[in-house]
Amino acid sequence: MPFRDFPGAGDSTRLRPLIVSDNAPFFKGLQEGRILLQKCAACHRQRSPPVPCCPWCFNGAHEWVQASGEGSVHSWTRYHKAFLSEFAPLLPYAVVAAALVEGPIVYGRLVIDTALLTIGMPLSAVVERWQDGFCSLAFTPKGAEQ
Amino acid sequence: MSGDDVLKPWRLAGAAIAGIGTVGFGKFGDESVASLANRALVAALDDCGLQRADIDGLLIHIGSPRGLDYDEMARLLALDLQFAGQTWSHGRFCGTIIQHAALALAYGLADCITCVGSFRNSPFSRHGTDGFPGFAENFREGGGPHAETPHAGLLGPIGGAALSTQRYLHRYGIERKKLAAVAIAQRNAAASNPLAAQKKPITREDYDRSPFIAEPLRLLDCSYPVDTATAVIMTRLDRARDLKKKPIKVLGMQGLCAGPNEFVFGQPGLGINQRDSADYEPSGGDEPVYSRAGVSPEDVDTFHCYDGFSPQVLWTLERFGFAKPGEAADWAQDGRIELSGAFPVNTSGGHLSEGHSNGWGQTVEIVRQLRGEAGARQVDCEIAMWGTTFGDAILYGHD
Repeated sequence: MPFRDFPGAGDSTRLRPLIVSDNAPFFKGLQEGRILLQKCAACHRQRSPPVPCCPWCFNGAHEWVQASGEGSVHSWTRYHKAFLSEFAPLLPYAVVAAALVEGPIVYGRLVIDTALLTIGMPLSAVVERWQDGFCSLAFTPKGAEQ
Repeated sequence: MSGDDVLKPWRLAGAAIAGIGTVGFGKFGDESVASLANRALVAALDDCGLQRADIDGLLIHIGSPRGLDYDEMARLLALDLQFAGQTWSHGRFCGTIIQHAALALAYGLADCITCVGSFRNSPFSRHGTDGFPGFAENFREGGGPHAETPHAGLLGPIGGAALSTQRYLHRYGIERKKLAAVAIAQRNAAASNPLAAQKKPITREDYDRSPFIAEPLRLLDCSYPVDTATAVIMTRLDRARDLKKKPIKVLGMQGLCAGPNEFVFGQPGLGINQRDSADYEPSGGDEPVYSRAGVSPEDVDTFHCYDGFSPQVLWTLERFGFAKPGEAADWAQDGRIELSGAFPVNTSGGHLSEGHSNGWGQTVEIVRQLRGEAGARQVDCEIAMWGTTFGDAILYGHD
């Protein structure tokens, strides 16, 4: 996945998620430009967020597999008010709930906003890299990165 | 044990709201939470004729630092307790507090329980900002309590609500502007509520000019933060009968729902809480609160619900069987949920206009309505209902 520098203000210090055993591989994967998803060892469904047992068959074993980065808009919002100063220079900015082709729904900032933003719009994942190196999952409209 | 045996203590005892008191909803300068709560408690004691020494149970909704924890409250307000409890400091637990009081009364853990919703928001910056006491909750293991994901810019309770609303409008092909009916109805109701924080009536044009905060939600779709204190005194029904006002009986109740497909600010199955999108059919009249109370949605005269954001009213109306799935927005048009409408909702103005009391404003309003004390807002009612998008519900009626 392509990397893009976070264009807002400041670094990720106060915005970093709590990294624990369940989600550590996911965030490490983003550092390497990959989306990693848990895949159940028993029913083989892929899931997000990372959890200790399969939400469908409850099996506790899983492997991490790389997702394609392709998906579509499941839902979206566009912020016109900044709750935190890091995002103030970006207003208005959009956030999508993206349905990955592998199944899971994940959140990410839409780093190239478009008036065509609508549910079902195809998306490609990118990695938004903060100035301190932390990496967030983000999206662009499919094809916009070319 | 059969279901009937399990319910026996509850049915034998019954629980009722005996007294209510509130300081109102707004800004109270530097008045402490303890002082606000004390005034609400004094008003509630006066309302039912009990003495402070009669109170032997305390349930606190919002704890420190916006409110007071149960031990502080008991110490600062000179309450000697044999039963106390407290919920996580979030708005969703008003019904839970009432339910815990009813259960504690049924099992004899206390005789007179004061339920307190008392907190100040004005000393802090807005919910979702780093000056709000709950900011650290954004970094829970499972993510923020309303789907907040700060590093993705998904911030504040409104983010998840906005995603839910967008998906809901899309799923059912609902025009966004129809959300206006909720905000307008509740502001019109608040106009005749002297305690409401926002009383100036709004028009459809005002709504359309209201700025977006997080699309598709506008400022007028958002609840209005306030400081408040409300005390609700509950006793067993037999004891309430001997007090000053006629008891408002808890007819039936059901607890909070939670799970992978539940999301506090959306309908189940919308897929917003990062789970499957699923065809959702609300169980409506089959929700257990109805059979437990022996009533049906048609028997409910006025409905009061958690409305952090206006679409929650629509989702709750669908969840509890008043409107069909996806039809609540149409159903609510043309004044249907206004004070003068066929089905008055949030008659005190709700969180959108009376002020965000975390359900306590609605609870005292239910009592006023059933007692016939709602003044200019009085609607004709025998049965009133509390319900939420997160699934809990309480049916209230007369003895």
